[in-house]
Amino acid sequence: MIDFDKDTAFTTRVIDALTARGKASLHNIANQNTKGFKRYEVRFEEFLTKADKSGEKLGEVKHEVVRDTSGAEGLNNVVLMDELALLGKTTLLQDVMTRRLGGYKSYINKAIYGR
Amino acid sequence: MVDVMKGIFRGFDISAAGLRAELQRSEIVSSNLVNMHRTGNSTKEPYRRQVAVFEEVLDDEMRKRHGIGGGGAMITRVAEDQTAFPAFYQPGHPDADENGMLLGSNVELFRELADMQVIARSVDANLAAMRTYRGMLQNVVQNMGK
Repeated sequence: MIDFDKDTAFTTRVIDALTARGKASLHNIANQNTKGFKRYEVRFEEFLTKADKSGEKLGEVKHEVVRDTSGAEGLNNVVLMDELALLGKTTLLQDVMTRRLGGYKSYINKAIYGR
Repeated sequence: MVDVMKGIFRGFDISAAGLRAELQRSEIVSSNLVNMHRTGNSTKEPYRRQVAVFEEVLDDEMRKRHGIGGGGAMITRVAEDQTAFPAFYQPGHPDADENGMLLGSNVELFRELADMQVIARSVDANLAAMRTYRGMLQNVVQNMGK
């Protein structure tokens, strides 16, 4: 049997992280001409792997927004194509995860109403 | 409820802020192009090139809600280009001094045109990002609404 509570908690966390990543990309693209700007990065997958290894609850993993300080001091490190690619990837993943979350609802509806 | 909706649509505000900044910059470049022939001499300063200074907008509320302090970009000030004015020998010109020398503006046509291209591409990028974000919201509505 699927543990709905656990599974929806996990999916919600993933969608949260993906939304934050999408917004970070928007912000990075908006600042591609800002002098000395360092891009934002959302870290999530590594925390998931870590939690999975140590046996923590996956539904309690939270993403983190950090500055990517790579590149020379005072130089902008936004690469437009990378940013757009990341945004596209984020959108695809978010599509999958929202389908997953919508799927639970239709399962429950099926169980309750039989349709 | 209203706050949740605001949080979702904030993504558009980020791109909109970026677009606003780019459009403002294009106005400054246009103004440079229009005024580039305003000449001067030792007593009267010719047109000085204006430069837009970009800065990122940090939004406190967004930081609290999503952990991102990002709110797009904006032009915080318009600086003046301090490079020297080029001198020309044009004795018949009304602005020329007694030696026939004239100071021209420090705007360079091709640099301004290149800047204009950069702005056009940046506007495209912001619009593409906005479209993609709209796609993300559409995913939520279509996949989770059924």
